[in-house]
Amino acid sequence: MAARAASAATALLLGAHDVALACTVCGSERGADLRAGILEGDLLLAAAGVVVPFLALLGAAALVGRGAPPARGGGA
Amino acid sequence: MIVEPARRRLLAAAVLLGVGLGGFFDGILFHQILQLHHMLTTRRPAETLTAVEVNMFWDGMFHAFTWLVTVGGLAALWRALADPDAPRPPRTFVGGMLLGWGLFNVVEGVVDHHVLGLHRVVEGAPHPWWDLGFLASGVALIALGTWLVRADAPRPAPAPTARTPAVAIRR
Repeated sequence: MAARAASAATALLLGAHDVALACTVCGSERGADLRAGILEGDLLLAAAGVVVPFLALLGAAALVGRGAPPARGGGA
Repeated sequence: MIVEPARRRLLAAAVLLGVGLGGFFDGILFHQILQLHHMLTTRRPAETLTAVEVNMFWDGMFHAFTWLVTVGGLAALWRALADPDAPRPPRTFVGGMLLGWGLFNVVEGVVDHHVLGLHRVVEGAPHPWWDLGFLASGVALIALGTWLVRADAPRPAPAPTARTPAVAIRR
């Protein structure tokens, strides 16, 4: 499920990228190469490399802030 | 590290900002200016135009998350400073940012460099010293940040001694 969602999101992003490329000297063939390069092979590993460290760090920040008193006025 | 509740909100915001700014430091200096590595260069060396573009895509994803964390840090800082009476100790703020930067170096270094093997600090270096140095810089930043945050802790009131008010009461 997560892999499908990641693939769909990437394809969506690269679809926009293809359109942008088609408007430049790059042409759409390079866009296709790029999409293939990203979707084949290392997609999940690279996504994990981006997402996992940030999730861990967000967890660390949440632990630091746990027990903070509620903000008065102006805060959410 | 024990931090009293009044400083926790500011500290959490500072840690988030430190993570975000540390990520930008890594991405801007190592990925873009010095081009020592990109996100996937161990697995996809930047030797063809397509490989460079694939790496650039994942560098962009990395920067997108870094940007989101920085925005989250700004929002947390806004909330922390919403209360006009909230404490704003500068050493807690600076120490928290150094703590966040150090945590970024350690977590990103362990996960991306060593566990997943996506890239190394200096791609193709014959020794691991750059990667170990990156982890060491993270540990040093964590230690420095923790020291600064602790330095802001309120001092406990001194216990009464023979020369303090306890004597005065007796008089």
